[in-house]
Amino acid sequence: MPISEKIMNELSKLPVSEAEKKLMTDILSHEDIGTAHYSAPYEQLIKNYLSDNPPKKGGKKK
Amino acid sequence: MSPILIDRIEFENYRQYGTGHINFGVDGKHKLDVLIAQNGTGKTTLLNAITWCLYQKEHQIADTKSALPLPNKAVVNKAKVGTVITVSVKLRILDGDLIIDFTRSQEFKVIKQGKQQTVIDGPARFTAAITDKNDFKNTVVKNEQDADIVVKQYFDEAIFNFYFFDGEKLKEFFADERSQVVRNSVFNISQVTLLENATNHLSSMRYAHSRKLGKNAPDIQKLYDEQEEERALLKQARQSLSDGKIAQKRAEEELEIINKALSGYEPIRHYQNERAELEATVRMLKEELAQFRSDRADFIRRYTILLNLYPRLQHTLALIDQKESSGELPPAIDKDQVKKLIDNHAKTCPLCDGALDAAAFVHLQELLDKLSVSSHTSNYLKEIKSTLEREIEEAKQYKQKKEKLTQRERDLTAREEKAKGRLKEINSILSNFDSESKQIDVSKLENKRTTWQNKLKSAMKTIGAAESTITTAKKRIEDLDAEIETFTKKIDAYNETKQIISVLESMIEGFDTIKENIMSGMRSEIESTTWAIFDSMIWKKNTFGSIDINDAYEITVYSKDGTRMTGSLSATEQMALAYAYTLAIHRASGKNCPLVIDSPLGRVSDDNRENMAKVLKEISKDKQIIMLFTPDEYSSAVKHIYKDVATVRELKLSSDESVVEGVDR
Repeated sequence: MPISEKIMNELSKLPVSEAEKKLMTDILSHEDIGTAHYSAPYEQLIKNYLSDNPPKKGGKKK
Repeated sequence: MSPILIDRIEFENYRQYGTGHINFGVDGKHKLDVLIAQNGTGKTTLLNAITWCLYQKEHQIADTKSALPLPNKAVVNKAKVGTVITVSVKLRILDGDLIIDFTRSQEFKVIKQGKQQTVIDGPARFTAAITDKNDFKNTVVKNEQDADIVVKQYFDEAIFNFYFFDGEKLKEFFADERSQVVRNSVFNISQVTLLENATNHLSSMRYAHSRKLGKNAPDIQKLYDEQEEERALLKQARQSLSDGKIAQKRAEEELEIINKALSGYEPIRHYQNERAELEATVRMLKEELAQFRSDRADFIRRYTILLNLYPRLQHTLALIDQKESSGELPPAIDKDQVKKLIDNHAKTCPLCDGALDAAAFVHLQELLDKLSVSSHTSNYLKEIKSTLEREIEEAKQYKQKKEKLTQRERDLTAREEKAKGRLKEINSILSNFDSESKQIDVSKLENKRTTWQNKLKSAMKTIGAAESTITTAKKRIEDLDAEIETFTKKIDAYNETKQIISVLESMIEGFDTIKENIMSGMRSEIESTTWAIFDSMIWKKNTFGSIDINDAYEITVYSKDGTRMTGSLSATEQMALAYAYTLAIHRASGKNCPLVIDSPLGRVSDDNRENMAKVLKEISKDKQIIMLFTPDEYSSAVKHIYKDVATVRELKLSSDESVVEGVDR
């Protein structure tokens, strides 16, 4: 089901990159399907994200 | 928010609806459908059809065991014994580009029972078929449990009566046990639960990855393990803090009401005023005593050192005084200067310019042996003399200062005891007070007051403990972060895992932020929307002042002067409040779901009917409303309001009463 407008509005306000927002949306869409096996698909999504958006060297850990 | 619409309902052999369908008016400016039917025709059955389809329950049937079976009676009577009849209801929902068909079907076998034919239940099935309008070829069909999940996201059964509204059952809306259910359902519908699930899954992944990272570095593993424990503690403490604050707010609200009631009662007002002053005095004295204890600790620390050093201070001062009186301080001759003359084999005396021969050097050496103090030392001793004198003087004042402190403590304690004693007296007087007036039971209120004060104390204790735990846990997590940072810098091989953990943490933080923002805004949004709609529906403009919905989602109506009056609402006002609350929940949940209302104006008095009908018409511009009226309810005034905007359909039973006419076949 579509993710609610409320969530999408709040997501758009987060101080993270557009790529990370897209990743978070993809995660929520998977959650929405109600998957019991989330680990592998989530890991793949994150790895794809990291491959397209390699972190800057020397960045400060949160 | 674009509305979610019930586009169509299809029946197959379902009760008096038989086989047919109803298309609803989803295309017009107003998404308004009016179905008119006499009582007993099938209005409530239509509501039951919807709930049976979605939840496999006909919620409007009082006793399912003694109700007629589902299959249409005429179909059962016509069928041969042994035939299997399929009953189904399909509900088509439109949500943006999505078309969702909820279909429930059940088989019934026809049997003979005495002279009658009846049925026995067979297997049932439930599906949700989801099609994107832009991609008709790829319909996703979900079965049973997965289909139930889809239902829950639109029409959570826990609050079904907020979508499929029976105007005759208003009491259920405001029952205390409903509020927690409403709260949980609102969070579910607004997908706050979705966020929580996502956060939980990502947290599990983070933990798993941290274990991987720490596999060859057990020190890191220990740190991650400790960090997880601290996070769990932090989560618990935050929940505890939230619960404590809710309890605190509730207790404070109750105490305010009680105090207001008590202070409004003339015979005890002076006691109330005195009690308020005494409570302020006790609070102030508590603070003074805390300050006193701090001062006393400083005093003890200072004098422990001072008194310990006293003999040595005295001895040192005596030494200095002795050297002063013997002329050694300041020395007439500088010892260092004499030593310099000897060491440098000076030729002449710097004072008198006389030559220094061997005899002079012997004399100088004898002088040096006599002099015990250099001028540098002498100056130093003279400097510290005044300090020593001051310290000794202060040490002598020990007894006097101690007496002063003792007296102060006695004084503060006595004042505190006096105030507390008088408070106790007043509390006792009030809790045994025999009110002459029947309008206020002082002793009962006092007991309530004591109860709520204890609850407030308990809540404050919980808050204090939670805040302390939160501070400690946060600090420990930060410290562990720093330690982990140090360790992981050394491990190049685990960079990818580290990056994944970083992304996971960022997303968890993001989802938590979204969830907190939505939750905090939602309750106040529901409250203000409920008030706005309620106020627009009610003709009385000088009676109602506000509506309050607390964190537990309990609803209270206040008069203009701040008196609670939820229990005093008329049937019409209750209906208006139920509508307002329902619509507010829909709005706040982020899903603009339709409303199906049986007897929408049944309990509304005539003079308010038009007003309420107009408000519902206005609402239908943005939200689908399907209303089931009796002909009496659908008065000419209401008809006039809806005539150009609603899709109107009349339902009536066939002459043999076996099937509803007015349904499309």
